[in-house]
Amino acid sequence: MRRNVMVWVWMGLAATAWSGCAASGAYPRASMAMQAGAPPSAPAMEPSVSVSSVSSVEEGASTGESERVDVAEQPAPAPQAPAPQAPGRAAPVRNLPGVTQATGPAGNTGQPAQPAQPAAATPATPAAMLIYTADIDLQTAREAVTPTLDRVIEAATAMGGYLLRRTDTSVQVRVPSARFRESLRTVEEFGEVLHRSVAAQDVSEEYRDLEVRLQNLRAVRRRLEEFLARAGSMTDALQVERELERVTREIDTLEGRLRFLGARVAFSLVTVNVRARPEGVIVAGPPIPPRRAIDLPVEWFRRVGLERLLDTRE
Amino acid sequence: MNRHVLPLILMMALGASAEGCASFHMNTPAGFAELGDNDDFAYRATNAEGVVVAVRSERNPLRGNLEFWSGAVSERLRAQGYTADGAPRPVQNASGLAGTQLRFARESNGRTLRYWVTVFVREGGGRVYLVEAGGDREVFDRATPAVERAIAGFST
Repeated sequence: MRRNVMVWVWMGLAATAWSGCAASGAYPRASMAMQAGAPPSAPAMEPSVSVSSVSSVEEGASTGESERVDVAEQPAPAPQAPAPQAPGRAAPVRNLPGVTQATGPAGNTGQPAQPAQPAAATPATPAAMLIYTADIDLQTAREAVTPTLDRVIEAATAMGGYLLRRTDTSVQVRVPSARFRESLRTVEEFGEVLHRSVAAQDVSEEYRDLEVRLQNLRAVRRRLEEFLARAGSMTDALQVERELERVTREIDTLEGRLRFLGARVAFSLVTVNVRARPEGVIVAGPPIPPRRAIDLPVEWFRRVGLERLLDTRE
Repeated sequence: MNRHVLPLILMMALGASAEGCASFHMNTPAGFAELGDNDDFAYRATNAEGVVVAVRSERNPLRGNLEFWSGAVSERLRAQGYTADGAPRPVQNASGLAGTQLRFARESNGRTLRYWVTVFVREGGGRVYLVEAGGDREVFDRATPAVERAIAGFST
């Protein structure tokens, strides 16, 4: 009985992996081998196959660099390359059930949230997932440093952003990526720009990988749940449950990472440093000659001073 | 005999009179010890921390008044690098004589010293009294109440 269950488990998982990956355009290595007609190295005919040995294939596909499936290598229609995206357009967080668009404390995402859809049902719609960061150094009058920092915060808040960190001379805010460029233009009007740098980090590939891994793991979880329902003995049930727990934990991790990336993409980081303009250098005129000391034909008058007073030796 | 004794008595009386003109009284502040006089000062006292109070009693050959001597002393000290610590203060001694107190500060070897000079000029311009006080700022500030009491008690 136990052997039969194990075989079902393996076959079910392999089938799930195949169908899940085909839908998303990504194929774990084991599945690819099956598709090519090669005899699977997976021990489908082996009577001692276990859940853990099957899941190791899934694990490898999801974590190991060598096991990672590159979408471009797939026989399925090649996805479009991520289109270059202007800083003002944030890519939405896609196809992550329960995670649509990250929302900041201000509650304004800068993008309409997309409805959650099952991952497998939606074809991959590659869009550049870019995390924008900007550093701006401003120079203002000394008394305007603090008000300028206040204005930066107000501007960010008005755009739906929020304050991240503030010191006496700098401020870090997050603004909706859709208004990133606008926020830079606004901040640059607050003072004389000494330095400006903008950077974008493309996390599209990582995001897609995570999505694929997540889809696969969800499929595995569904199958495991089915097996659990059909488990004939307590031992089988426990074994399947352990595996189910591990897969669920991994799903949680991936979902967290996707949420994190989504939030970073949705809100751009703007750091503004404000310096006080150096005070004007006072050009010294010719030195003022010392006042002429009065002198009198009086002996004691010339001896008035601390030297005589404090000399207590005499 | 009388011829010789009479001039002698007369000279002694004049001398005593002249000495009387230069006489003054100064209370030694609590915590101070008298140092005795020297070529410059008719009276001097110091405390254990080096704050010194002294009195110059000088002739006034120029017959300058209080305004003249306080102004002259102030100008000379400024020219020597002293910095005025507030405006001159009008004061009055125990015998009702008006005076002017000049307060200065001066940097010396990284320390700040206080120096007060209170000028009194006897009516008729016969004598000038300078009541001087000085010391390191920190210790002087602690001794200020005693110094002020001593100056207020100065009488001619």
